[in-house]
Amino acid sequence: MQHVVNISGATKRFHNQTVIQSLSLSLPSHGFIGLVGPNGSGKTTFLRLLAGLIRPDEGQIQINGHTVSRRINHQVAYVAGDQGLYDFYTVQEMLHYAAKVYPDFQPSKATEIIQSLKINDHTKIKHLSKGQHTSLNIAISLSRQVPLILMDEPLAGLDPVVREDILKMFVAFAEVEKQTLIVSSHEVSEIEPYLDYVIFLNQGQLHLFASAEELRETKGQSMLHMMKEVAR
Amino acid sequence: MNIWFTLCQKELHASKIWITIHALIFTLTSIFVVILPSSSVKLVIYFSFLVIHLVYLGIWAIYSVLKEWRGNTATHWLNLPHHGFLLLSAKMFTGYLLLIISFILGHFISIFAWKLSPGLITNLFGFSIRQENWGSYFYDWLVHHSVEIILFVLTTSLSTGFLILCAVLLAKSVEKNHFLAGFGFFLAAGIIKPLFISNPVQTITEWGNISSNHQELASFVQTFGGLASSFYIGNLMIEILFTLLFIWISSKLLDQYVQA
Repeated sequence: MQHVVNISGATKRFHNQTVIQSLSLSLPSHGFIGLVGPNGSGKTTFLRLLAGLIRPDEGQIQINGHTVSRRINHQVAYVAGDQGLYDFYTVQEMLHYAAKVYPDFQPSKATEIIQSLKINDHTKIKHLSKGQHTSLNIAISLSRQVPLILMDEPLAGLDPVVREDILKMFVAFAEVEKQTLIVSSHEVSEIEPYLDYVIFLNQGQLHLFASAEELRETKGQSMLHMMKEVAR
Repeated sequence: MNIWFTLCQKELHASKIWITIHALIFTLTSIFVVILPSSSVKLVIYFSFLVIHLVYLGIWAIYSVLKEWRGNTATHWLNLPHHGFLLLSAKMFTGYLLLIISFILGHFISIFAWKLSPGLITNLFGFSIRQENWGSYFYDWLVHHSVEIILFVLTTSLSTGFLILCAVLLAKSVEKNHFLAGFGFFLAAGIIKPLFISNPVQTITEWGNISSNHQELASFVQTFGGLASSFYIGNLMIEILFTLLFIWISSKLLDQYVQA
């Protein structure tokens, strides 16, 4: 199996507190991966390490053979949980901007996603609802032709209808046959049906990385149930 | 270049509040300077204007970088797949463009304002120049040294701006003691840099004098030691070399060490 991500012995500390501890993991070059774990398990730190937004204190992280730093972002699209957009732009202007600054951006795909979400592209970003704002952030990431897309809690704080729209967007527009999409979420039961693989983190350590199908077959229980067990 | 211009346009859009406040202060001060009869107050305003423009780019750097963090757009900005130099140069160029417009316009408004009311004087900074001629001396000095003053401010502000940018990015790169790291770098570089300009071997840098030699203005010019000394191309070269060094450090910091 080809790997897009290779992590060996990555450790990250903040103020002498170990957030990620000696994590070693290789991730496949395509598929939808759920990153789950209780609060404080290191999910956000894990994604930020992969995006090159923070440095590991120990160990090494490589994406397609390149050691991760900020410059890795021609291979990675990252959406933070609280990520803002330039609110002085309209949706259309933001897409124009994205088309110019991301060489790998597909404008037609972005327009198609925005139309499917029924967002008026003349609306100023500052006038978008939280759900529309998150959806636009995700639409921009999904429109990039990069091997790795990272999304940190994209469903957090959204109502069930918007969450469903976002999940539908993943299914319709994520190119999981050639991209790896890693999504962290607490809404485990909602994303479970779409996942190809699952990463369980607990207290900064890798508890489990497995194929979702294999997990269901061997353990015979839902991921939410497993997550509860891990949390205990 | 297309990407760079897009980033510059974005910076201009993002700085509407900054530009509005700047334009407002500039207009009000200009009106005040033109209608004001007192030369001494005009002088104070002019030199405040000089000092503000020397640190303008530095303040801009702090504003522009921290705005990305405050608006939660830092992850988006850092996730742009381009060299740190491209991202930073677009930010700094936008600030520098505003500085150039503001400074050159302000400088010539000052000359115009001074022409309207020369000759009025107080012994404000204790200059040993005949008081009755002081106003016209200063007007003369401003007119004759326009090129040097503009060159000095535009060069020095550039190195100061990138020095402060380095300090901000260093503060964003360390795990803790952010303020100490940034301020420490600023102080250290601020101490080291002048050593290359005012030192026992300053003959190395004091070449290519570009200032007009007005004997009667010597004591006046000496009062502003830094300004006068930088009228050497050698000194300006040192400023440019430091600017290049700071650009290199800040690009390296952004690409390798800054943490969001």
